Amino acid sequence: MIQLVTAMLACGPWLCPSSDRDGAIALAREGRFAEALSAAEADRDPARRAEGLLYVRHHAGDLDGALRVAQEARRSGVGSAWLEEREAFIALTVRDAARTRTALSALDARADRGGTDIARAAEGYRTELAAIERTLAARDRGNSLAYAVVGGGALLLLAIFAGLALTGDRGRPSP
Amino acid sequence: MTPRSVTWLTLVAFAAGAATMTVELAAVRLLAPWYGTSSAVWTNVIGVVLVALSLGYLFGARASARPDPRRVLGLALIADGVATAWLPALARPCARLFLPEGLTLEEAGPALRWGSLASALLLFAPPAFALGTIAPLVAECVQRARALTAGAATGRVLCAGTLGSLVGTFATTYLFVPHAGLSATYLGAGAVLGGLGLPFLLAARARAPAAVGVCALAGALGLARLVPPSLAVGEQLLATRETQYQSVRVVEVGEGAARMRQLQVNESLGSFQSVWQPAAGILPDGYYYNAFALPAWWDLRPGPWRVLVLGLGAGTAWRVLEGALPEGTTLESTGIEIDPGVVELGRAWLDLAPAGRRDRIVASDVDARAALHLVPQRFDQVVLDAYQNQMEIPPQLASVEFFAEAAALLASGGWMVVNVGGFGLEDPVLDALARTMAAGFQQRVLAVRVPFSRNIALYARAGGEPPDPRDGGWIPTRGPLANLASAMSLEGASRWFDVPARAPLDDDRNPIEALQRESVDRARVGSP
Repeated sequence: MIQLVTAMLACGPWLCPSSDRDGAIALAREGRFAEALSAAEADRDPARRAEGLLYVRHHAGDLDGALRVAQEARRSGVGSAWLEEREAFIALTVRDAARTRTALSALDARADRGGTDIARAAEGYRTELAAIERTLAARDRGNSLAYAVVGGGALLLLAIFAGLALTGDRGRPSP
Repeated sequence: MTPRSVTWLTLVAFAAGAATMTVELAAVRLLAPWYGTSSAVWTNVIGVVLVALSLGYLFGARASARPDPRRVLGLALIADGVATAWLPALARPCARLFLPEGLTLEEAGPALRWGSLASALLLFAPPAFALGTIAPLVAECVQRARALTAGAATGRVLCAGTLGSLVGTFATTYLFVPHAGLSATYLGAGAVLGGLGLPFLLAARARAPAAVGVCALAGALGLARLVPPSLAVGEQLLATRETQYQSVRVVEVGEGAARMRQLQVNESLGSFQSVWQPAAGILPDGYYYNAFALPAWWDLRPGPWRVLVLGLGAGTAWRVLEGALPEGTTLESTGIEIDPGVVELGRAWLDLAPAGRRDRIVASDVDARAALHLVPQRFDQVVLDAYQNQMEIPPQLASVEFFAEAAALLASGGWMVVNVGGFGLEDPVLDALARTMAAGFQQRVLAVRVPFSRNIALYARAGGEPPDPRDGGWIPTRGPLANLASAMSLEGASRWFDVPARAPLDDDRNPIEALQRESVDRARVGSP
């Protein structure tokens, strides 16, 4: 189901009327990424431009670049459900929990205003995010435990060393 | 021969020396599935063993003044045997305390260093401490048995112990671990130590500790086995082997034409050394091997394309080139792979060319740097894809002298491509390596991000420069690599490195390992 919803959301931009963005998407699908990027940048509508840029960057494998596009669009208030869904998806791909959380919050706000598909997608992503966060929390606990073991172990060894070395020999000397 | 005899005591000293090196050398291999075998892990293990040994020496010295040191010696040997024999079973639960499953390299960060230190402390300090007690106790027993001077007794014991260490060192690396495996190595060492200690306890009428020790040893022999990290969901294990260099396994995912096999080393943090798919040629998005095939498309000339691959692994670079070279161009290649075990598994499971083919020469058990002096011909392309310890480029393959030697092996206009695992084009490892490469070639070097991955390909050319990704010559007009080259041509995907006044890395001063730690730490700070 998550894949279906993701696919529906992912194909969002080219369901809209023809634009530079749509041209960019077509070029990117042919693998002509540099031209696609130029075409996307030419779109005068900020939301469509961001959608086109993100699509091209994502399909060219520049995941960090695609995330930057989505982030800038959200910050400048030109975000769309599609951009936020893609941001959450790509952030999950690169295991960026903070960005995923931010994008999901934005999606939640849209879902509150209606949009079952968005809510479904957000739910699936939230499950994946929770798994990543559990792993990171376990790592942090492991780190704390490691510091404690190393610190405690060092103190214990020091105490044993001091006890053995500084208290002098006992018992009778060997014959 | 009885526990009182000097021969028996000498044998104990010899066995303790051998066991010390076995515990220490195999320790890194035992931790490798979780922490890798980086210099930091080696340092942590050696440091813990040395501290524990020194404490053991002190304790043994104190205990040697007792009326009957043989009893303590027996207890130490039995305790050591038990602690050593249970190590394989304890490794996984101990490592999992500090390093949970599912982390990526940049997420792991300090957990690798501190976790490996904590694990080493918990696992190896007890047996190393017990081993340390043995030499002074044996020396005392020898001195009393023969009425020798302290120097004479200690000298004999040190001689036997050091010879034992020598045997333990070579036998562990070349015999025990590769042929018997880690579990059997530790179980064997534990059984020998426990077996040597038992007569001392029986002679001292310490039956209760002897019985407990025998039970614990028997339990270890029956139950204590190393449990490697779990396979990922959907992975099927095809083969596994302990080689003299690393733990290696081959896993398969998917079905039919979509099947992929990975040759994984030390299994940690999702790393792999080689991949295979049923058809030769370019791999799916995200595999850096595809970037190795671009120079042949930039040259576009028919005839043999002579390639030297440093770090052949199981031959993935060859399979990609075989299927992705331009029409009329045929691959003639020499591959250097240090681990013969990887080559054998590659031939069995990943279609690595069999021995004897003149156009696919494999040289194994030799370091790539040393191999540069052994290959007689000139090449159209040199590929460097050599990582050690999963994440480290060996220093001898990251110096200006190395790159100058590699450049000298290239035909005029020949190419060198280096795979670098990095976190962006500002990564400190990439920066140092690219500028060093530029110094070695005395030409600008191009770094390009491989789409859908954390890898970066470095391109250099003998007597020239690679094409600029923003110019027309970068994207092949046809063939399977046009999309890849197009994606690599985007703004922000590449960076040029000029020839520096002084190379950052050379054979004399090479901080590549520190840079690699900095790279991971930076990536971690950048991530949540």
